[in-house]
Amino acid sequence: MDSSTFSLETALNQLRETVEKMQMSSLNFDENIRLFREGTEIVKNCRKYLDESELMIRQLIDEEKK
Amino acid sequence: MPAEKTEYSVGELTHYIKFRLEQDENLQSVSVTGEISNLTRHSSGHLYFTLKDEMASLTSVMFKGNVMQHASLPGNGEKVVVTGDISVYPPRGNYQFIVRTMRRAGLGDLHQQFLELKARLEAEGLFDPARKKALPRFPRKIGLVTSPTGAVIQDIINTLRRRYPHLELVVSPAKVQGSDAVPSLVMAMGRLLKEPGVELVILARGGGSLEDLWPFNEEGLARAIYGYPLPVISAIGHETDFTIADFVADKRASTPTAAAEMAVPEEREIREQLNGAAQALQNSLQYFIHYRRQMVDDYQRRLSQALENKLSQARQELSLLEVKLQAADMRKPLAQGFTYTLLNGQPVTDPAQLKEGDQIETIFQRGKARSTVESTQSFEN
Repeated sequence: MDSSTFSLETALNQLRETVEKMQMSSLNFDENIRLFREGTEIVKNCRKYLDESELMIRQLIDEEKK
Repeated sequence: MPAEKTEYSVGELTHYIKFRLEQDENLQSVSVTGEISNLTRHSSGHLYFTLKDEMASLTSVMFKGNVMQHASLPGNGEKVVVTGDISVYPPRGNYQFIVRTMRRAGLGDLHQQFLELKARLEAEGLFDPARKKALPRFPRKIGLVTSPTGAVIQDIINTLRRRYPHLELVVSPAKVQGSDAVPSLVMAMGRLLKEPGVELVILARGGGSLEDLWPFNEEGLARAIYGYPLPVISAIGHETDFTIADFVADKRASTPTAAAEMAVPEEREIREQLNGAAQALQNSLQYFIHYRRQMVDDYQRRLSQALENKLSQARQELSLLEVKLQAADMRKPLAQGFTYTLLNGQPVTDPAQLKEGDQIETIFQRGKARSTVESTQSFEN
């Protein structure tokens, strides 16, 4: 994940689309596995981004208190 | 009046006296100095009083219309200068002074000058609220024009220091009374313009008599304030004193302390507000992150759920296929000589399903035979 270009909102939209595609009954199983892998990767990126953001905010707050 | 002695009625004589007095130019539109006594304000709005000095007293009246043209009127015991006409009140048979204008003696000249200058400068637009400059909200450096000695400078410095410790204050001392006060004040204001970064000037003087405050009623100072490029707060004399400088200044403060309060905000208050805003910002960011985490968790759950659904669908299909596959394998026993039996097209697994006379079909590897049941018998377990 490139954190300088990563967009949380875009990623969340991709996740929503992935889940919707997986819920369509016409999709074959291999395609589902592929989507699940893709979705899991996006989830991982989102969590990483949120963790980094939270850490950055904590640092800013600590700096301000000094 | 005829030379002959004639008899007059009281009314006739009184009216003649009234006529004579009111005809006398020396008794009309005259100014009289005296002390006020027996002052009564009648419910009609007229003012009755006696003007007196060591020698004599003069019954006086000021009618409502004239009373209303005076913003404030002197009281008993005060020396005044009144202007009006001598007249006679026939029912009482006395003469009286009909007062049109009244002012306090002594102060009168200065007060008159003040009113005239005020009216002139006002007409010229020097007090125009639209021309007044706004005060900076967070000044870093302000100037103070006042006497270097006395309580005023101390009050202002203390208030500024308490409210806004980071402020830079430039004191520009000036004479605040006497004939050379105006040039001194104007020069002091000028010096502050050479000081870089001054954003606002306080012009202050403590309380005093009208004469003491007089420099602040001078036209020269008024014009200097009007043309001054920086906002000016005036704090001259006591709360009840209004000078020309107060009218021209961008803001008028009732006391030196009030001027300092007007000039700078309270730093502690600003810090509290800032801290509150920072806290709110942190809270909303943390809430945002929390909310987004929930969304991500939710999507992950739905991803797994969707995959599991597909998985169980696949398992069902698989077991269906398994059944079909097993069915396909039934051909093997037939090759070894086993057969299977159908009644009305349905497989028979127990002779109890059959009765005498039923038509059954027997399936072999390469064909089938039709036969009729004669008897049935179940094996004992």
